Amino acid sequence: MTMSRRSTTSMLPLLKISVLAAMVGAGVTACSTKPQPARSHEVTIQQLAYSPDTLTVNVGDTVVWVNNDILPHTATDSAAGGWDTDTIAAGGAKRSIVMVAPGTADYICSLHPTMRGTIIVK
Amino acid sequence: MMFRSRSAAVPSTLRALSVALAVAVIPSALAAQQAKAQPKLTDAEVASVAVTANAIDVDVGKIALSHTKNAEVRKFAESMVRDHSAVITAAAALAKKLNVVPADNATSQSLKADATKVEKSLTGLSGAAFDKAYIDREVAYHEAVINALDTVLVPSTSNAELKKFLVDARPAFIAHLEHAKMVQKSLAK
Repeated sequence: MTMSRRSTTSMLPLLKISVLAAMVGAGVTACSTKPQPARSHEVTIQQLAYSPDTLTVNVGDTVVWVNNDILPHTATDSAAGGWDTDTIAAGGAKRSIVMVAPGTADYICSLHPTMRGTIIVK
Repeated sequence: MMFRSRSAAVPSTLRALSVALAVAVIPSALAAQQAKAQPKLTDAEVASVAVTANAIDVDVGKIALSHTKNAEVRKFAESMVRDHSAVITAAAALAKKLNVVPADNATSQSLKADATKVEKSLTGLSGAAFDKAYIDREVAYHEAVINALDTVLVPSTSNAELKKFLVDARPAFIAHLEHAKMVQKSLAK
């Protein structure tokens, strides 16, 4: 009996969540003109190159750099006072930056200044 | 692949050019290796040359760090010590995995002899004269290493993984060469 009651009780929240999810789902569909939720974009680093080397994102999106090279790298905004991932260790380490301001940022690896990339924030 | 197709297209011209370039600007060991009709090295010898060439640039970079007062030169030297150490670590791990024991050979020995002379001449310099000599040497050295990689080391290597490692390391040497040229330009101002 106890088990059965517990079982019934535990079903109720699930039901409520399902209904709520359905309502939220309907709401999202109805409000499709709202801004897109922030997304995450990945830039991989291998053999001293960023891929993709140019990436377009929306304000509020996150760019994640994944360093698959055998050397450490950074992604450093060339503009004075700009963003900087700091050192991303070799062998798969990741660092991310949330892009808060619209514009075009050319960036380099501060350790290997011949490596270049561009982030376009809309 | 790139190397094979390139040498197949204009082998004699490129070979002559690479030897001429090598003799003009690079350590005599690598030039001699290229000039001797490119005798094939064993994988163990290739591993030894690769590790030796990287180790030499770590040592010269350390000399630069103890001599230079120029921020750009220092930053470049820090990259050389860090990156060439990383390549050595990766090369050693691969050699161990492949059961390849680096074998000392005439090219490795000659590289070391050249390096001893370079280190001796650099340690006698200071200030702007040191910075110029170090960066000029780094431009020539990286040109030589890339040349040797393309004409001797990669074509000589039998093991596919070792060959891929050398090909994959090439962009690092290209970036170092370009970085050295940037610093060279800034010193000339």
